[in-house]
Amino acid sequence: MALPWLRTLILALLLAGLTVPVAISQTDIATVSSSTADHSQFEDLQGPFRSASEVSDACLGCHNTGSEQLHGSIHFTWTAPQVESDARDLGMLHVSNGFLLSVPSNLDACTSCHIAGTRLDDMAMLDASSDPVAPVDCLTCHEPTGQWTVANFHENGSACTMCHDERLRGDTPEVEDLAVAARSVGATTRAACGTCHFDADGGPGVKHGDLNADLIAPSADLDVHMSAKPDGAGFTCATCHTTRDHVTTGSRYTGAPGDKPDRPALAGAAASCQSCHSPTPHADLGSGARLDRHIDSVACETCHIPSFARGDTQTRVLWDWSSVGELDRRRQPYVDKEKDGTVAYASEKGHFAWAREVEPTLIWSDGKLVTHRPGDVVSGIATDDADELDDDAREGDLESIAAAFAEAPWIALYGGEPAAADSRIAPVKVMNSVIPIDQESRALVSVLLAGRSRDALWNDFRWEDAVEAGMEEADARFSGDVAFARVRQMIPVNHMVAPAEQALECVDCHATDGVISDLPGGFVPGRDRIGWLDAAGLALIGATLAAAFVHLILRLGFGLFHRKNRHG
Amino acid sequence: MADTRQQSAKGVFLFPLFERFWHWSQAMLIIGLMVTGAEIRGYWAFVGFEKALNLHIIGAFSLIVLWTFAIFWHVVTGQWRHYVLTTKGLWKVVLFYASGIFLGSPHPFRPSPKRKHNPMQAMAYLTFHLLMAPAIWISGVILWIYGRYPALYPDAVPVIWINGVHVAAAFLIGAFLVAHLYLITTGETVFAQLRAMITGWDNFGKVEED
Repeated sequence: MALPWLRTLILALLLAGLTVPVAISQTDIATVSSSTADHSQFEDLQGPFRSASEVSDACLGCHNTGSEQLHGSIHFTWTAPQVESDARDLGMLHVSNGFLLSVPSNLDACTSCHIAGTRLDDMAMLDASSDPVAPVDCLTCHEPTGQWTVANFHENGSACTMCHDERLRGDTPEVEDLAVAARSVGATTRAACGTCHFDADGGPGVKHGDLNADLIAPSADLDVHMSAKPDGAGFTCATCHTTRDHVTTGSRYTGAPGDKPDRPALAGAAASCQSCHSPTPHADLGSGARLDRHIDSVACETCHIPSFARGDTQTRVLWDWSSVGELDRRRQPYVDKEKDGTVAYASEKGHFAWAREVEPTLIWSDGKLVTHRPGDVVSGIATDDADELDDDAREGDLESIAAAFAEAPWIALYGGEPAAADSRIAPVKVMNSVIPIDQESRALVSVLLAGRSRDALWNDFRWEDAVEAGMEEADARFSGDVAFARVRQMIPVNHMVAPAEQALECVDCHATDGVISDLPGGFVPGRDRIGWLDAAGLALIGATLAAAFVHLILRLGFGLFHRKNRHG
Repeated sequence: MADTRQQSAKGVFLFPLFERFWHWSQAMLIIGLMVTGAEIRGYWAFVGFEKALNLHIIGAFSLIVLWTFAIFWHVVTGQWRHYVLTTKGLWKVVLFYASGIFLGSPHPFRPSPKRKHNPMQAMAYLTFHLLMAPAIWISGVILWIYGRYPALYPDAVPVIWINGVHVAAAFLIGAFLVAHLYLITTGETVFAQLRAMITGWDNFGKVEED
């Protein structure tokens, strides 16, 4: 480029643009707090602090049951309680997924996001009854800009590829002054929760379509609850996901769309629509009583979240691990991008497809998630390494993806019988993945993705070694040969509730080609019919019309010859 | 009622005020129910599904009320006798519509206050009164209960059958309406029968039955 100063200017502007989200001032958010305790004036928080654990020690000096409370929470254990149908522990730590596949084999990379604030390589440290038990890091959730957490896991040395499809240039973010961070603490914010949840499973918007950084300052169109007053309700995450003893309400493993609120709104909302909204939420509308009667069979979200990923951030809908390891002409890993800058291929991760404004897939759900773990054989799983995905699917054409995965088994799905009393029609995001499995046993596998070991996938791209190492960590059998299989996974959709006027209309369901046309169960006027009846009825009316027409023609024709009065 | 002025220059007085009121409000309601019913069924989108459903329910209950009055009127005035089936002259009428009408033959039946409808007409109307109308209103009320008071609906009966009866009756009434609209143009003149139904006077009727 002929003008070096112009290049510098453009670079400076780009960098400024990149740092905008970082620019939220810590004091701005802290002043929102209406607590009687102004942490910014606490002597113990004046610092200086040499490490984050010194900050947490200062917190725990007063909040002396904090560690104990957190040690039992799902945020610490990454384990959800067992359910009747499955005697094994649930939760992120245990189950397989279609994104980064499984946690145990990548524990030290994954735990850079743990609320211990430090990387752990021993699963036992997540168990509060073991010794040693991991510490807790208060700033992870209570530093209101979320920048502490971002800085911490970068400084912790997490694997870049875990969250970034493309290695970004520039410095990793850092927090210069821990004392400023310590004095800024307060109730959790959208930014703080979002640090982990908005970028879950590998980067912005990857896992969730309804939870991404667009919710930090959303318009009312995007989310009526989280947009600022007066257009929205100005909720933070914790307004609905209330906590008691640091245990947060709401998760994919608890609650069901048909549940009565287990905690009424007077005791604090509990992460369900019905914990705040009455059983007759449409009472003010003209035909509200009829809409209210839908509640027995349709979850609120089904109509009120007409699409997800409605903001700037796209969500990943396809992840094809089978194409990992392609190298460029210089034998180096590379990244292939779409025109809009989204990554379509990365040597470390394979092919991706992204989508925006996705209409959720509607299912019957009783809220009970059926999961699988490394070593489990998913019923109906088929190896299909001979049958690569077509280009349309890899480029994100949703219909092609749906067609390619129509027969793929579910590694995580919600139960629920059509029209059963405890089931509701509910929206989910369907994640389509081509994942490695054991060629012989067809069991799901655990993969060592990152680390110093040459076995790690992202070092040498040798699947067999990476799976061997991963299965060892997961304590599961592996035959030594890897194949690939298409699977699907349901991700609940509960956020990005749209303004009422954008909710689904009657005819979106009450039609033969509506959004529930493939869903069994119930009787839906306009959708359900005896197939031949309309054809027969229309034929009858057509025949009557034709008969009348022929009769009329004959009358007119003969009438030319007989003009006399009929009754003489 | 009509007896005092049965015959005059205007013809015969066949249809008293109530009968005409009943006929025309029933006609409007049925057409309205067909339009809204077809929208609920997905054939077109005029007023929107929710409004169509609301209008359909209002129209249906209005029609049931109207029918209640009409049945009372028919029973009290004895007008129900006009719909009694008869084979007397039936074939003549059938033949007339099949051939005579083209050749300019006189209509074998002339309406009178004792017998307003020809045998074929009486048969068609009786089918409407005793088959199509009850099928559609009974099935309609059951469908309404299914939606409005789901607890009252017996689960043993697949609701799609009730819906099927309702829709089948609707198509039959639709076909009836088409035939009816055509056949009223086959009077002495194209609009003679329409005129009689509006004014009550049939110019070509007669006082006594044949």
